[in-house]
Amino acid sequence: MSEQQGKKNSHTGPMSGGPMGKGSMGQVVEKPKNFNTTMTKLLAYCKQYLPAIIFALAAAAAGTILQIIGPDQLKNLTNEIMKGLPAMVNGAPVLGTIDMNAVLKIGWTLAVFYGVSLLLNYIQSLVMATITQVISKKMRTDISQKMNRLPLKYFDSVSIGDVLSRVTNDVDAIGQTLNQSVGTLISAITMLAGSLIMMVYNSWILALTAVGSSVIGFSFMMIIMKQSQKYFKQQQTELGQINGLIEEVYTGHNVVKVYNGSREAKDAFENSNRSLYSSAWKSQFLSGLMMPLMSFVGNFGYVAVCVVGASLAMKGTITFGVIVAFMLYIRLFTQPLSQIAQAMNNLQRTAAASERVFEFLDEEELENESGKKNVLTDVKGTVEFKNVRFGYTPNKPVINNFSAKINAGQKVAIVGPTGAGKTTMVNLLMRFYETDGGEILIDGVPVNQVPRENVHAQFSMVLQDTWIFEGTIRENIIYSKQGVTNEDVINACKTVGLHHFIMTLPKGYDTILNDKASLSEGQKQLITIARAMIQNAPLLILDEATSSVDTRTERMVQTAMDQLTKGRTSFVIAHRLSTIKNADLILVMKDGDIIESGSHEELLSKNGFYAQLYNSQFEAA
Amino acid sequence: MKHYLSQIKEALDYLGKEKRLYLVFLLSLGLGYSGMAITISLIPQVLIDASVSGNYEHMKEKLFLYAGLFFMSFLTSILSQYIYRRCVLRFQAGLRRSVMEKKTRLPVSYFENSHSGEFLSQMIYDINKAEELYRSKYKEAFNPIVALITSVIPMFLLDHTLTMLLLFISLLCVLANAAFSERVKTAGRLTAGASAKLSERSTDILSGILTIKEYQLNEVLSGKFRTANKEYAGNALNREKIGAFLEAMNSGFTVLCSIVFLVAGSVMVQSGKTTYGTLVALMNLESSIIWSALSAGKRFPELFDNIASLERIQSFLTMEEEVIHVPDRLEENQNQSFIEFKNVDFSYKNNREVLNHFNMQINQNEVAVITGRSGCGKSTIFKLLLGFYNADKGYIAIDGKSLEEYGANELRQMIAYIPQRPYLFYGTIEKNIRFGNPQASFEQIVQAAKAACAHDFIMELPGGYDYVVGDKGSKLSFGQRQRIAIARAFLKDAPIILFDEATSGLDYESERFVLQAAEQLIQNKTALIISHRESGVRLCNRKIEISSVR
Repeated sequence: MSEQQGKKNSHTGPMSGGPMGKGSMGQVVEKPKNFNTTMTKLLAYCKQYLPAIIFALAAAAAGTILQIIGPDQLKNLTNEIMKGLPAMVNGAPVLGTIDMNAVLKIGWTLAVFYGVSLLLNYIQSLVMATITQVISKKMRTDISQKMNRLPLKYFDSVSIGDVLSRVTNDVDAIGQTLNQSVGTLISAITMLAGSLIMMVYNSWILALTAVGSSVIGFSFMMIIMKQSQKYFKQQQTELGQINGLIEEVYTGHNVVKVYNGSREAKDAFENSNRSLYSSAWKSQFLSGLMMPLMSFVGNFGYVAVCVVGASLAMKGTITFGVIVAFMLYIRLFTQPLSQIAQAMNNLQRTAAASERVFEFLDEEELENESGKKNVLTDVKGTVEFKNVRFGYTPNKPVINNFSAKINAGQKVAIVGPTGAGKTTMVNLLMRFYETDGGEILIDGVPVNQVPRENVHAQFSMVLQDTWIFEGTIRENIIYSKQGVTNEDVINACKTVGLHHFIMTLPKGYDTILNDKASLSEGQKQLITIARAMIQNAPLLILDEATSSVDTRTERMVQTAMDQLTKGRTSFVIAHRLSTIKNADLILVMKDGDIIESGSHEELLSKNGFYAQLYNSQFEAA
Repeated sequence: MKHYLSQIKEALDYLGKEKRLYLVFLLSLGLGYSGMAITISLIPQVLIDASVSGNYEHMKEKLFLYAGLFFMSFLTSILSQYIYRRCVLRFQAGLRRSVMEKKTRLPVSYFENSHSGEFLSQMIYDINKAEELYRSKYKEAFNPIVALITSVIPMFLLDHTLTMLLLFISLLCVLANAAFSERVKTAGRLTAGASAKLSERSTDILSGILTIKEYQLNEVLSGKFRTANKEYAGNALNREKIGAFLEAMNSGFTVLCSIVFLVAGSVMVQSGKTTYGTLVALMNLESSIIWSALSAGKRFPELFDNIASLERIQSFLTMEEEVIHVPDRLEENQNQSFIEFKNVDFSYKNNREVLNHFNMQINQNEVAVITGRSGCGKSTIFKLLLGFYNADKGYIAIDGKSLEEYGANELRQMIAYIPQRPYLFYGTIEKNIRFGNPQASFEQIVQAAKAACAHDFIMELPGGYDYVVGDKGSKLSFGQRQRIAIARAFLKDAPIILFDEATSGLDYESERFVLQAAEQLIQNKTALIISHRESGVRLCNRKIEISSVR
């Protein structure tokens, strides 16, 4: 709010008085790590709009200059009126007359000046608003495209909320602050300099009085502001804590209830709450002092000008018009001071937000593969791992030396304890990550010699994580596959046993899936299987995903999966050994290596790690 | 209008015993501010009139009077501001406390029907908004009105003709703004909607990045994003344009006001109807009234946004609270087992029937596994037993006493419940286990962790028991969270154990640990275990299969 208020005041007419623009008190401003670098980057980013921005800023400056001339005209007006006032000449009152023509002329001049100034400021606002929206839009588009070009590795290390806040909050912050700060800064500086010049031009003594009293007032205010900032920060932290506690009781409600932990939570809450409201009276007094003080300081210079001006006028050093002009100039002079402080704060925020956005845009991207001419076509499905090595971080290997050959059409199960590297193998196979050593071949072609998209296209995946985007059921099944008919979709859904359910929905396949119309976990799983069927890719990856469904649905999902694996090379990441007994090949992984491989029977007869795992499942209790 | 006023009044009534103090100091704060503005505007008049007429007789007294009034106003505003803030803070603390207490007293059904992050953030947003209402919104809306009224009076005293003229132009300005207010609101609403959509699109892309890469969904989703982005940018630009226009319009009115005033004023000074000093004083007061009128016009509608938040909180605070109720009574002298369900009917609110004439008897120290397909009501039995929900019909008792006779606290003291998705609080492992028994010593906590097969993995974490588990325990695996939850149950040492679906979603290794821990836990206890898996079933000495009602 405070920015808008500040902005409004800068446009008020010649009579601007009244309460001062309310500055931003107690606002905690985030500091960027490197202001200059970031601003240079931002400038480079906006390069193509620079001429328009400069035009807007020039308009702002010109509008302000016209405004500064206003009070000077008012001085002339005052002097005209004074001339016409009854005066004591030689002890006898002489009735003068006001030159109404001159008054009207000044009135018109003022009207034109302020009119043009108004228009220029309006143009400035429009141009800046348009440019900032265009830039924000471009930024958001760039970010969304960047998301697709980033390696998966990046998403392992950041939270969704973090990236999301860059697309929304940060870009919005840049747009808003840029829109408000640059224009304000230019007009405020022009106003400050202009009114200073005009004041000195009119009377240097009064100018000194005005500047001196303003400086004293503002430094006094700054000192108090600094003091209260500390308390304000403390209050914010405490408020954050309270919100956290409220949230905790909310999300963990059944634990809180059953364990009667509510007493402890209540104590913690009471403490935070009490400390927030009974925190030192000093903090409250100081923050309470701010507003009246601002208003006091704003008027301090004004009173000083009146008093000094009146005594000068009585001595005849200056005309009364000068006092009237100064009463306005002192406003024009003090207003920009708080506006500049505000605009600088805004620029800091712009820089902090831009820093985060550029940091994201500058993240290392996936290698550009447009040069790779090799393409996988008509894949049979032979897959070979040759001495593959890999680690998510350089000195922590996850896969040590992995080799295996899988024939077309085989069903391969990967088993092993958590952290053995099962999912990692699949990620490498699909080239979501690049191997550190060794190679992976599909139909004899090393995957790193083929464009990534081409590798992805050879796979269908059914993952534990059932992801659905906001769109119709049909869209969520077809995805980006071309040339899929309605019948194909219906057939796939019939096969997985979803068709009947979908038809009970009011809009059938056109039902939009979102927060409101959601599916059960099991149904989502079935959708992902139907999707994999539609994709009809030669290779299949199943991250055994039946944990969140009941036994009956699990059986249905299992049947659908069996259908799907027919005639395809499939990789199954198994959590329950009972489901993979019929695999052609079982790879037992431990600590990044294959320690055993073979069919279920072979492995059992070996009586090794697999046999141990398998038996342990039944002796658990 | 009447409706609006009654809304404002009701929101004030909500302050309770703080109301009078609040209103008195709200008013005195406004008077303090406008007192400063008015006295300062009158000072130049004294100076100018005195020097023009050459009559300095009363100048000094008048100046001292105004200066005195100015300082008095300043002190009044500081004092009022301080008392006002204390009053608001006291109210805020009370509001938060009552929201918090209400939460712990609400039935579980409330949370389960509205369990989403969105609702939670709405709640926090509403609390902030309600606090803001009393902290600043009333002040911002009513201070300008006070300033307006108090400035108009001296203006009329100075010169009523000019004042009428100025008021007329100010009124035009306010009306023009009012005419635009609907468009401003619409533009704001559209932008907010478009912004929400845009962030949904972004979330779609971010949460499914793996799938998007696999299926080259890039184009489909980018298209959706582009549409949302375009819509948002368009709406935002529209909003900015309206804002810029309004700003220019208001500046225009101010300029118009000034120029008309100057010319008319010149005419009046010439004809001797007023003095030049009066003109200058009026000029100052006038800018304050147009500012006041505009900000009152702007702030007043904003009040209702905050009042809406307050109303949501009020309706939350008056929501029905948790009461444990058992519909039926049992006839005297009937044999009862330790846990008894007799002819229980239950259905969730406006939903299908879950339990129909359900009967179950569990003896002391019996361990029973409950199986059945999902949705058949297994978890519901636990929720009924915990008093989270009340049965529609039938009788539920523990140890011969109906649940109603126990009351919520006593009942839940007897039960250790390990839910399907164990919930961990942000904080250390120690704190999370301690929930089982806040008085437990550290040794007892370690013992519980050991019994729950959790000690070993805890010691491997950096900081051991001081390891902070992250939001909802996100830094631990599912199996680890489960074992912490079991440790919690150990520490509670309640005679009844309810263990829900504990091993789904675990790999066999973690499952083994969890089952081992569970086996320890249920020794010499009465336990009910929900499980699909063979492995879980082997823990029990009795199996109860629930068939669907349908």
